[in-house]
Amino acid sequence: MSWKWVMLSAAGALVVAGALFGRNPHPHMWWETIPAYGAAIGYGGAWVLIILAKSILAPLLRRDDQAAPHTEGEV
Amino acid sequence: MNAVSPVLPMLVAALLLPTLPANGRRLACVAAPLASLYLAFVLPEGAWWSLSFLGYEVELLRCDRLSRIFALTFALAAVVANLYGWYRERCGEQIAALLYASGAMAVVYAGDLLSMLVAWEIMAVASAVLVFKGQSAAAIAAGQRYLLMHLAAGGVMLLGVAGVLADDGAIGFGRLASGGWATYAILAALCVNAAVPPLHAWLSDAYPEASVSGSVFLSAFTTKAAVYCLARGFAGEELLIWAGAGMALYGVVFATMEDDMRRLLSYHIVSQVGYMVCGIGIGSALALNGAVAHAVCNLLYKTLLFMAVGAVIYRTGRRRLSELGGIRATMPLTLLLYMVGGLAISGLPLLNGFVSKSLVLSGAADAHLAGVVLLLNLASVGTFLSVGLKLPFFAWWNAAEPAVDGDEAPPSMLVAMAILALLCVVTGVYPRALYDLLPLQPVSYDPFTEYHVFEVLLAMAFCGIVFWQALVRLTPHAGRTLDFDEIYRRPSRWLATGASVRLDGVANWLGNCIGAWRTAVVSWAKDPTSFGDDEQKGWYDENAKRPPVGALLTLILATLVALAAVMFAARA
Repeated sequence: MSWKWVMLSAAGALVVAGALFGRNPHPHMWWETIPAYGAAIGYGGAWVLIILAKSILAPLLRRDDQAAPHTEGEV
Repeated sequence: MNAVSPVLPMLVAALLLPTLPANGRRLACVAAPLASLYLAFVLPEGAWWSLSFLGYEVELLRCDRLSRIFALTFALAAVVANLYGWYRERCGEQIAALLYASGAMAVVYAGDLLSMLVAWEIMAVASAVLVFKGQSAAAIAAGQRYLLMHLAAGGVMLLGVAGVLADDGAIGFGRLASGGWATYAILAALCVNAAVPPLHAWLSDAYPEASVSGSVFLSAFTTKAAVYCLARGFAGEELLIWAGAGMALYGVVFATMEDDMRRLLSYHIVSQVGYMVCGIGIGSALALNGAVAHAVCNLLYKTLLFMAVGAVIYRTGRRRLSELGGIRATMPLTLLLYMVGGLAISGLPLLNGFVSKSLVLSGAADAHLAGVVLLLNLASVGTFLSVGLKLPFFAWWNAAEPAVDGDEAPPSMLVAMAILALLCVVTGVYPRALYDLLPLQPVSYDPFTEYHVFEVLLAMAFCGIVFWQALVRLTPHAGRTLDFDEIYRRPSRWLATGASVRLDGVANWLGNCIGAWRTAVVSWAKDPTSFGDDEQKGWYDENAKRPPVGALLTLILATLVALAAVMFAARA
């Protein structure tokens, strides 16, 4: 079994465990009452950041770098 | 004045370093901060060194719980950073590093605005030297921009301090958030050093260009000293809540785009300081303790991360992820220690980042700041994505064989990293060790609730799944990211070029004027009768009266000598 399947299985087990045991006894926000809310913020949040950074901002802000080559021997 | 300032050992060592041999300098660089650490530990609370200056009572050494926790952390950082930099040969860099650490400690012990300002400027100049010591064209240019930015911020702070003095004559460094232009000027200067966007670009510009050990020092002091000053002077300032939440997200978004390892980590300094600034802005006991705890924890794991990445650069000569890969075979211990820092900054339970982030987040939740909580959660996910997954994967994995030759980090670097990693674990497993040092007591917060631990683990696990799904999209490519510094870098270049052309013209004109004036003066001196005329008359002979005038002067001198001789003889 590859590490990817191990990771998926662990995540699935965490979701189930989170939904069963991970109830917030003192929720401050409404979303904290959603079972396994952490999974949603982890998955959705990471995709939001990747799309924002790599698909929207990178084409606008990334430039080919002629002026700063890597610095072998610079240290 | 019966207490020894913890600043003194490092300051004295910095002055003595040029007189010591290479090994003596290395030893002094570690021993002096150790002495400072001990003195900071035993220094009792109170005001110890006061003197009168320009009619003001200046407090050079004031210790309370807030200054103590920052001083202890700064001294500890100086010890391990100097241990890490044991390989350094350059005396100038060692002196600058000690002065920089002394300045940071002097800031936290300053009981008044004037001594804080002086220590602030020492920090600015010494840290700029560390950037210059990168010794490349890019480092020199970045160092100049860094110095200009910080001297400008120092100028604004001086203006603010003068304004505060003019307003109420009070020089003490306490809570300043009372409104008025002067306090806002001080706040703006502090925001420059805390790297609040859009005033942050000096950080991601300069830190990656410094020397390997220089960037370790830089990551430790400047922003944390600013956080201390904000906590001291501006706790509860609402502006800071959204500024902090915004910078937490800003940093992770830019880090996601980065290829340069140290620039990536620099953006994460912006992000992590965002948590602290936000906690200070909220201002409740929980949030303020959280901000301070996060400053301490951040200093531990962020310094560790800069050390690990610096060790990779030191051994491979490569600083870009796109040029690395597969070095897990050659640098396994560095990887292990990096991962402790990477997981700590990501907030993994049982590491210190989990404790301090939880304090800040709970502070925001208690204040019912839903948007802030959401932004900070998102920033936390982004931190794990780029520091916990992207950087180690593309540097240490992503290739079966090492992309470049290299070797494990030197023992001194490994020892320094191991000390910090151990502290990350100890304060993560036993947070009471940290709580007991926090400024507002008692602290009874328990981060290890079932729900919170599960929530964090779930978020990290699903972020890991996204990383796997988006691996191709996240692959780093060589290039640079435009940031707010583009706004002033290009115009300042045009301004400098334009100003230089115009100044050349002005200088030439002035030179011509002075030349013409000199010619006229010489001409008049030769022939005073020609004053006001365009040309000499021709009948005046400048040598005609020379012999009689010379004879007259000789006669006068001879008379004076004779008189002196007669008077001398008469007295004798």
